[in-house]
Amino acid sequence: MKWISVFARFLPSQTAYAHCDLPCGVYDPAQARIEAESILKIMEKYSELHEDEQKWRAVFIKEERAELVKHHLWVLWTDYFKPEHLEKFPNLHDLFWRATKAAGQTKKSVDPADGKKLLDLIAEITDIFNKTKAAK
Amino acid sequence: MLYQLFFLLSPVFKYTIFGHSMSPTLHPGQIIFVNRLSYLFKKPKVNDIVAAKIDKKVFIKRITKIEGSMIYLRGDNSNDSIDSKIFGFVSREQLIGKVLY
Repeated sequence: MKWISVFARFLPSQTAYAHCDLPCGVYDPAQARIEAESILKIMEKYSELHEDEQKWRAVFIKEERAELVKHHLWVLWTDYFKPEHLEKFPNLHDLFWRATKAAGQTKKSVDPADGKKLLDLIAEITDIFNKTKAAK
Repeated sequence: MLYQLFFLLSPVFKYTIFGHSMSPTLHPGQIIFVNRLSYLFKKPKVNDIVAAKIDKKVFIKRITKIEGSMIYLRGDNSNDSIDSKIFGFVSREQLIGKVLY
């Protein structure tokens, strides 16, 4: 295995799925909300941190969660929502665009207001999602 | 270009696991290596963990059944796994290789 570890250093990593990104039909904005709640908590606690190492870790985890929020929103946007939903909720594209932008903003910021804004946008998406589910 | 060709021809591919279906054997974020030459001279075996291309995406699953050239794949965390119970058998050609830890 030694030669692999040496060789692997130079290899780029690709994503391998150990869950579904096939049309399994299981969607829930709660995935994005939970990650966004985690971001907000980290932002709130960031000012209390003093050690560089703790701060670095907090930023790293926050960025990781922000990327997950983007991923979960993109899955909803591209896989769950259909043209008929857009007809009923014409602000859908704009809402997702603003929410994914807000997720990007939380990477750059440690201001809890940015985390709250992201959660509010996810709440709006959840509201639309629930309405589409109820209509089924 | 030469760099890309080098990786394309690499006998080992490196992947980062996304998802929980292979937990507890493999966990999300774990980096794994796939030996593309594993099945050049050997046949896939039941219990091998493999990378397979399905619907243009790479999935990591365990072989649980082999019928001729058709292979049945399941996740170790079967309650949370989209695998052959959803997408059916996969063909030998869809296997990329065997997972090395």
